[in-house]
Amino acid sequence: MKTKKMRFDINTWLPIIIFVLILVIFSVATGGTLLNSRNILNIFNQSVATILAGLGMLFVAAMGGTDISTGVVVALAGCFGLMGAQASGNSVVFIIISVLIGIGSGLLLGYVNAKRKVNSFMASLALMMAWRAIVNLVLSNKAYYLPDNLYVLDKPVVKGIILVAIVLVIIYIWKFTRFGNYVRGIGENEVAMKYAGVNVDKIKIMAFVMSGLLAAVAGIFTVVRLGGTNNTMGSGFEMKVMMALFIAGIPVQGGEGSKVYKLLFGAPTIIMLENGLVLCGLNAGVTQLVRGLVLLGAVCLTSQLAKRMAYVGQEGAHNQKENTAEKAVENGGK
Amino acid sequence: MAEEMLRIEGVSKSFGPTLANRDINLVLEKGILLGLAGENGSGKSTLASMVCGMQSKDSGKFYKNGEEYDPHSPSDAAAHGIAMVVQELGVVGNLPGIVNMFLGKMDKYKKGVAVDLAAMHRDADAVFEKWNLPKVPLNVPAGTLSIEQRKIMELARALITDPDFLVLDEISQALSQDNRQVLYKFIEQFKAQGRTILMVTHDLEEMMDICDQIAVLRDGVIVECKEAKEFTMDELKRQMIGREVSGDYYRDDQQEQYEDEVVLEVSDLTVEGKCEHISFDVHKGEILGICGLSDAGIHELGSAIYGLEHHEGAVRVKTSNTELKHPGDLVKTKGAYLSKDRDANGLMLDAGIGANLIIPSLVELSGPVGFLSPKKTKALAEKASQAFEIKSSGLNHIVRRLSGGNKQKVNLSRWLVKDLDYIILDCPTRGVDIGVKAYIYSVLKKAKAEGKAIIMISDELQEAMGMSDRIMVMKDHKFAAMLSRNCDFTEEKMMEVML
Repeated sequence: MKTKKMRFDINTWLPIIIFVLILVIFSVATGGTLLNSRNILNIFNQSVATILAGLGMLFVAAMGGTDISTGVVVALAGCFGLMGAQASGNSVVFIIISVLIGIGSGLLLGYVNAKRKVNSFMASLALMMAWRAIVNLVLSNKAYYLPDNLYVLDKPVVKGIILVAIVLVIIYIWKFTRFGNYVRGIGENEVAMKYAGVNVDKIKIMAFVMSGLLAAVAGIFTVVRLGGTNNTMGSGFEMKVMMALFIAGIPVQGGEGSKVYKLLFGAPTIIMLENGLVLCGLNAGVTQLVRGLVLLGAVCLTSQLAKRMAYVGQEGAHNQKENTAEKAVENGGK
Repeated sequence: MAEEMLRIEGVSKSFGPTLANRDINLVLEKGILLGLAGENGSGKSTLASMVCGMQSKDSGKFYKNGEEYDPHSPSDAAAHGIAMVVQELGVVGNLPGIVNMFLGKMDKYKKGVAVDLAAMHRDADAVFEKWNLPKVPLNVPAGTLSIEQRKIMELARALITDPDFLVLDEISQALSQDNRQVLYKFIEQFKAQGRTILMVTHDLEEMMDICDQIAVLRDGVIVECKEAKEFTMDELKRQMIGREVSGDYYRDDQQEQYEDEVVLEVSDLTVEGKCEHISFDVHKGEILGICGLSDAGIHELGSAIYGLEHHEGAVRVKTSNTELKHPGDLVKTKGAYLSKDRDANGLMLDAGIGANLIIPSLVELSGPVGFLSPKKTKALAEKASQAFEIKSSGLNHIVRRLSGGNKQKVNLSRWLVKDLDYIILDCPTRGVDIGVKAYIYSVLKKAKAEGKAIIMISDELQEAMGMSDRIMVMKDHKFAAMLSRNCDFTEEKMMEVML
């Protein structure tokens, strides 16, 4: 009675399908400009920071939380990092300070969310405003520039290697450690995790630290790209990162459906979409509009699919009963 | 007396390729309680929900008081005098009880743009009074009420429309002894007015005791329907399963039997407002039952033991000589805890079986650098799933899509697959059919034989008496008595110390 059905799981393929769809649409619409080598490099350069910050935000999103302080952490880390580097004359200080700021911001957010029980959206919104104010105060009439020896980080090869290394580490944490499993478990059922003896508060704080840390790393690469800081750096970046997650079918409520590979497709998809629209000569307003509509469509599609799967599941459950019944009859016959 | 209230004629219902109900014919007379018996998935709830307008039937007809009756929605059913208390707790936790009671019925209470809360309270109080139900605080959010209070509130909610036909789906399983008595009294009163109740329950002893007639469903078909008096327990079970069940599924020995070695030592445990100064030992190979009326504090005690609730006093695991302070200590000291509310506190419903099964074992499975080998985790999940005969299409089968019994198997097996010293179970057989129930008891017997210390908190006296070596009875959050299997296990004695 046991037949293994291979069902084509659309949820698994959705990020790839959307990626290819956007790729094809804009390749045609731009007459191939999208895919010339300079533009591909451009897309890659822009994707790096989005992927890095997305990897961090994934931990928070998988718990069903939100961290909208990502963009401002990019600015904060970049700004104070460069300040430190300039003051000390040592470029390594830039990286150290940035990373510490990321971890610190994550710790604070995690503490407020886990221990003080403040909804993560509200907590990170407050943090976003506060950090942005600090950035504005510090940068009001000054500019900081990147030490020359750090431009090496902008080389595609160097960037690529670092990105791959970080992605591999995150995949390891995500798939092959307790932490990753617990984070997804909290998204599925937080109370159940608590009852199973998991220190939920600790896991939550760690997740926000990951988010802050990787936002800071994204900040480092953003600064390297720009060559310095300005006070609008990173604003709106958190939305781009969120779009990269959700356009790729990562469930908004978190849980087991949150996967690293989805982000790896989602980030270039969203960059390609923006890039393609610009190449098509559309103005910024229209670009915004299209971005919004595409995200809306993707999120609707994801939740629609989830619903359909649940329906198929109901049928499955009834088949299940049928099997049980048959088995009972078999047993009765014996 | 044999006047007809509801007639079901040739009703069928299918979900996709599966027939949930096939050609059901049933007559319910006025002033009776008809029990609907059957295993999980036999079609009881489907039938009940069609009568109440929550699902539409495919074919066949209902007649209410001789007139054809074809409900499109629960409120349509209510207009015909039919109301239902559903199995899953159907309250909105953040809304006050009073609003919950009148959800969907507020039009009547409109006062300008607002609603007349005072009138709603008046009408609600009248219902509680009329049917002698214990008062439930209705001004606080329903989520802060206990499960039992919510159930009683739901019963009152169903009665607001003054129905003459009531469907109760698994209502008593959420109630403890004293409130079950309240329920039985209510049923008598309801019947005495010539009204009818259709009741679905897994508790066969209860069914035999209180029902006037019993209809047995098997695979969507009514296989038997007659007076409850004419059934014997064995016949009822046989009819439900369709084959002979081997006698008793509880323990067959009558001796208190366990080793001298103490595994868990609870001393002076106090949780504010829940339990006070509780002390006891659990031994190797012992099943310690914990019973008490509702609000006696037995469920809170279970989670307090391993530090989930803020408590005073000490719980010591003797085998590793550590004190349980934080929930995380549970896993470290080879313990397990099964909560009463399986769906809310136990399982990740939308995740696969495999993901659920490995959660409690992740600490042991972690290698160097926290590495979780997919091979090892998969092997563990497969072992658990096979050892417990979880019926599914594989480890990716979503838990929500399993039947209640199989869900409970996932819930239990994820712990029992581990190497354990002690197990705390809170109502392990809540909402599962007798097949799975018998299976769980056999698993517990095996765990006992292996020398595990087991604490079994139970709302069912039969179960506690059937399985335990000793039973600790709690009353008003305090220790009331410790009874021994050797001589004390009678229902009279239990009730005497409980009340």
